[in-house]
Amino acid sequence: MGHLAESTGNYLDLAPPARLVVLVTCIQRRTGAATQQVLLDDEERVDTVDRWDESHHGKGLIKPPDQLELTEAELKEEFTRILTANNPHAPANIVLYNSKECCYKPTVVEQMIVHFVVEGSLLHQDSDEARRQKAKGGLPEETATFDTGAGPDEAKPETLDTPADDEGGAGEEDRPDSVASKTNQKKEAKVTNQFDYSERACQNLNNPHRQIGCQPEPPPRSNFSSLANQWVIYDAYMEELQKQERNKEKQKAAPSKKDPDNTKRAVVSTDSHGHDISKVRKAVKIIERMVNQNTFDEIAQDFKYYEDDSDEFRAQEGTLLPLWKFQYDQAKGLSVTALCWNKKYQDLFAVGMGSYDFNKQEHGLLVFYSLKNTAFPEYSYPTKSGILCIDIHEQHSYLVAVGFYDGCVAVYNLNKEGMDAVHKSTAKTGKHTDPVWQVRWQKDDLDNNHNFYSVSSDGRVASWTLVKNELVFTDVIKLSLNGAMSEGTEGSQQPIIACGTAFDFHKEIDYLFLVGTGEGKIHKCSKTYSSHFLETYVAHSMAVDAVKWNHFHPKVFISCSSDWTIKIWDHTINTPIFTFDLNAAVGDVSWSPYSSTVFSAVTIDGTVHVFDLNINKYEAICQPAVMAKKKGKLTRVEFNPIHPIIIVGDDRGYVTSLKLSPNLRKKPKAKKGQELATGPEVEVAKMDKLLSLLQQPENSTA
Amino acid sequence: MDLAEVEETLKRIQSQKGVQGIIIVNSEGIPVKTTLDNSSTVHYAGLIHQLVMKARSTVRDIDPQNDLTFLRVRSKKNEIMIAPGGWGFSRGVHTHSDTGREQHPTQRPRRPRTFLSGDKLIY
Repeated sequence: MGHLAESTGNYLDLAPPARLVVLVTCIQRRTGAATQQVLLDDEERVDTVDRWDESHHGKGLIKPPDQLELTEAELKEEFTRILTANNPHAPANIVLYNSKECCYKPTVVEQMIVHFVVEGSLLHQDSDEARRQKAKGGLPEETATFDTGAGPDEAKPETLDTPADDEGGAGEEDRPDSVASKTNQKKEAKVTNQFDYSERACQNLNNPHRQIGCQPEPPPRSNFSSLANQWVIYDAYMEELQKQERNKEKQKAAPSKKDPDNTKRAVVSTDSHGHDISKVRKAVKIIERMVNQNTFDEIAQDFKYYEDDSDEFRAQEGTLLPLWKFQYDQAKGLSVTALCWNKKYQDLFAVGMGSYDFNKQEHGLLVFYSLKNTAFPEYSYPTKSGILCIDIHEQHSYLVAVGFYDGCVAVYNLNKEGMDAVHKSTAKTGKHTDPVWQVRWQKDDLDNNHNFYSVSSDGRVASWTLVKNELVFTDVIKLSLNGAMSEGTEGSQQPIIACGTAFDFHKEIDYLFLVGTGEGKIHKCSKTYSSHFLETYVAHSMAVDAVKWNHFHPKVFISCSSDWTIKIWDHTINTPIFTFDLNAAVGDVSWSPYSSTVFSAVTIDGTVHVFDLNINKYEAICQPAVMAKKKGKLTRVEFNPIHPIIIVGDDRGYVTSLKLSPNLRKKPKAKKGQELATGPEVEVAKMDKLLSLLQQPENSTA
Repeated sequence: MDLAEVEETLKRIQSQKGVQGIIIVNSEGIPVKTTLDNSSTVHYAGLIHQLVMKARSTVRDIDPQNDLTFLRVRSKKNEIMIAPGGWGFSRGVHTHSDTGREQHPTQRPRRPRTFLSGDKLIY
């Protein structure tokens, strides 16, 4: 029975009859009140069954038919019952072998029986999972406490404590971290109720995108590129300057004076259309010169550099090297009657063409050649009548005075376009009645007018002045055989007018000049004295062709004539100092510009004679035949101012240029130790020496 | 009047011994007048234009008041002479084999050339 009681510890066993053991189990707690009574009373157990129908109480006990019949004594027997928590079904005799004691020992048997398991969804709020969920939800702690349903007061301090702990723990760490953790905690605390807020999206119709553009017309563009060189800048400045100047001029309203000494002889117009032609012209001109230079290359080289070395071996003689030959188609049949070098542009010379023949009077030609272009003249002016003399103004080298065979004088301006003379004398304005043999420019007069003199066969020496674009003449002197006669003398006899054929003005003494006549006399005159001559020299037996003052020595002059002679004079002495007989009519004589003792002469037999009085007083030191005797006559000779060449004109219209060899250009040798003096004084001294030498023997003979 | 003069000068140049031809070029480098055939003209014009521009620029860069007067390009066979005239320039092509330098007598020594410009004679 005890065994039975133990085994059926927690259960009520209804089936076995007679003595029933009633045990109280937890299940039966509901019927606690009822079952307690059952403990005490077996018999009442049945009642308890019945007592379940407590509604039926008051009635007598109902005995089932098969109940045991016990005696009263047996009914009062007390039986003890023990309540244990042992599992009645658990075996009590499980033994395990214990190796230590080498026997079987009884083990403890699990008495727990699981009747029912239900997995719940409740979490303890302090558990990790709960915390994690809180963090996810992000609800504040207060709500969290409410939600969990635990004792709010208890929970609250708990949860508050934990963040505080956290803070305290993180207090040593950086502030932001703790702040973050705090916010995090706060975040974690807030757990969203999924029904608290709703996120609802709603989208309108998106308006379709349309591009609307507007583009105005782009401004016209052009590419511009330019250089900014030194010279481009300079050009721009120059243009600006010119504009300003022009504006100034316009404001002043004064006539602009053309600069006469411009370096470019061609007129440069400021109009744009005129530019093209003039520039092409200039370019073409340069090309022509270049081509000519190429063609006559050797001559140019000789001109510049060739020095005849053989002169060292020739004691005193020199040579003349022929250089260029200038000829002009239109000048055929004309003879060269005048030559003149330009003082300013020393490669330019003027050739006057005409005819000495009385019978064959044709047109004339004024031609300008440059050494740079030897094939074609730079300027050419055809004239109606033959030209007999030319002079180029010293300062204004574009002014050329010309004397004609028909007695006219004219002035040409090279700067001006056009083939005509700028000024021309006519019968009304007092032209000569006979050919004009010589013209010479003078210095500007007091009114700054240009003026020149002319001498002619009609016996007049006239002075022409350019007054306001007109040519006004005044007679300076009238030549006559008997002596100069003034206009107003009462004269029974008509004065026989002599013809002047040459004249020359003194280089330094302005008013002094010499006139050679056709009768062979030379008169020394003064501009101031018009009535009579200062002196008269009986020079030649025929007409005086040329008379020239010495470039250096103030007293010496030279004259030549068709009577085959050349005479050198000292103007203070009536007789010539030197006389040279050349065996042919002398056409022209000319002093050299570099030496006071060198001069050259040309004769009609085609020979050029060069004399140097310093070397040889009696003969020419050079006498080359430039032209064959029968072919032509040489008519004119001129020395170039700076280059060692001479030009010789002949009656065929050719001009030949010749280079002087060193012997002909000798300067006095300096004694050792002495400086070689240069300059006109030396030349003068040279001449003086010569003169004194001559005079001494004269004195001695006389 | 000027045009006639220019024409005349061109004729004279052309008639000179050894001159092969003349080309006149405007400021853009386009040939305006020529005595050579078209292809040669265009050829020369194109090539030389740049050379002249360069030369002119060089001269003027060194001294802006200076300007190029002419340019000679000598080669074994011939010589090209270029004269810029303001903006247009003309050119002559010239063979110099005919000037007979080989025939030059030995007595005449050659001196080195110097080019003088301006008022002085050009050699």
